[in-house]
Amino acid sequence: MFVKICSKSELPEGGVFRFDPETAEKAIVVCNEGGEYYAIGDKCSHGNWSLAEGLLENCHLECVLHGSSFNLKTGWPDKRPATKPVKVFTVKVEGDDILVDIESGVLLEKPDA
Amino acid sequence: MPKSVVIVGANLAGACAAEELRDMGYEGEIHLVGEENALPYERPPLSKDFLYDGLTAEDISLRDNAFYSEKKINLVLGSRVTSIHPDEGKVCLQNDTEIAADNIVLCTGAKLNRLASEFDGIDGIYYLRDLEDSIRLRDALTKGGDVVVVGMGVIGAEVAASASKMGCKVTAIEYSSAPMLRCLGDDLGAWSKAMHEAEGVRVLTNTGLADVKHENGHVTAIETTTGEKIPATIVIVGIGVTPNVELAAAAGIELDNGIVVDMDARTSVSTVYAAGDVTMQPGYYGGKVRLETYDNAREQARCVAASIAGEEQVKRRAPWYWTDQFDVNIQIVGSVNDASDLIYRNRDGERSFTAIALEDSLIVGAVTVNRPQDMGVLRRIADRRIEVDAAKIADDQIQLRTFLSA
Repeated sequence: MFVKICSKSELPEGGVFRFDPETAEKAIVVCNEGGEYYAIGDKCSHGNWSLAEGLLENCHLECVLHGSSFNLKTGWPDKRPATKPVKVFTVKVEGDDILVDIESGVLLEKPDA
Repeated sequence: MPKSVVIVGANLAGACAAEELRDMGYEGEIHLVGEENALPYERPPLSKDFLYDGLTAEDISLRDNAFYSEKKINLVLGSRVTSIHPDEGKVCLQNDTEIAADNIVLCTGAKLNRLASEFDGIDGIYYLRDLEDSIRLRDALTKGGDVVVVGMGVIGAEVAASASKMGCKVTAIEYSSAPMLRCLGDDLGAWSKAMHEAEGVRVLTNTGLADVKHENGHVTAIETTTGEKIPATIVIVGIGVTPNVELAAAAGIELDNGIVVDMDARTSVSTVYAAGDVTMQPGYYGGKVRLETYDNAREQARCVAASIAGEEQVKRRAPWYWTDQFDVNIQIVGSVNDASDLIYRNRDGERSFTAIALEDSLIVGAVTVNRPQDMGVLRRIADRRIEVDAAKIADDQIQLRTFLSA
């Protein structure tokens, strides 16, 4: 089920937008990385913290609590203390709207280095 | 590429180095040797949620056994390395076995400083470094009692908070003028003291330990250098650590309050590397530093792996660490110790603010209190050595992120 998260103007390049459908457990963070939109689970897989508070760099979103960065394409962290991925969601753009399929979240297999 | 790497120390630095080597495509043998029997584990919880949240050893393991076998990392646990021989390409273990090693990685960590030997063997005195220590301390704190924490460095302050949370009556004594003085400097050190006192911890600064009183072998009280006698059934000592340099020393490796390494984490012997608490490394802000932090262990481990695997080195960053005490998350980048004036921003009461130390328009240190999101940005400003205007960064109306695109 695609849901409108925000408009394009609310999510400039390098921007991060947190969408909270019901509970923090289900929150999604949508990012604009170089004009491409990505959506991953907002809660860090290590501690109870919102990834939306972190900076977006090189297609990674950092958890500001302990410094694990999550790859927007794969959901996998680059270093400890997080060792498990967050879910990756399907995003689409319709006109000026950014939509996410909030039921599409999947944990992907770890890609080869 | 070396055929065999032996990592001495199955801790965060050691396990990260092993994992990073595989991630970087190194295909030779990896032997990860550790003295403890437990699988390599996370140390940060030992002074915090491991004490009060009922975590198990499994909860804090870095990886399970299956991971190490899958990655072909040979875990040699419960085993002590007795000597290293880089010139002969081998490492000797206590049971007279040897392992061939083209490269040796020393992650030997640090040992606890202890009270004078006259206090050895008194029941009720606790130290905290490894898993076994934390289990013993947890058992004692769960039963409850009058706690005295000796030394309010980061670990002492965390343990004081944990013991207090567990319902113990806590008195903390600190030889210097404030808790965590080395990390926070005078002003924030005073803030930290007030924070602990507001939570019910009695904090005595400029106060040392003079004597430990005991009856029937069990501690009953301590006496301070100011002459006060404080009843105690549990004494927790956190008076710093000393790097474990013995193996390196015997191998003739250069030392200076730790094992001296270069930017590539290489020691004075070209086939030997070192990572973690034991190293004395070139400081991000000049000079040499020994960092006893989580971030340093994982970053330096990556640096070692990149050196051995011939990969590009990761860019160096400003030193960064964090601590959690009560409901307060404190994060520190660089050092605010030498700052004459701190710039405060985003202050919302005593438990939410950011303090910044500038020197010639560069961030040399910053502390965030319950504002990790600020630290995420401040670290980048420090890492990229971006110049900032003091008046602007003091202005809450100007978002920190804007300094990154300046």
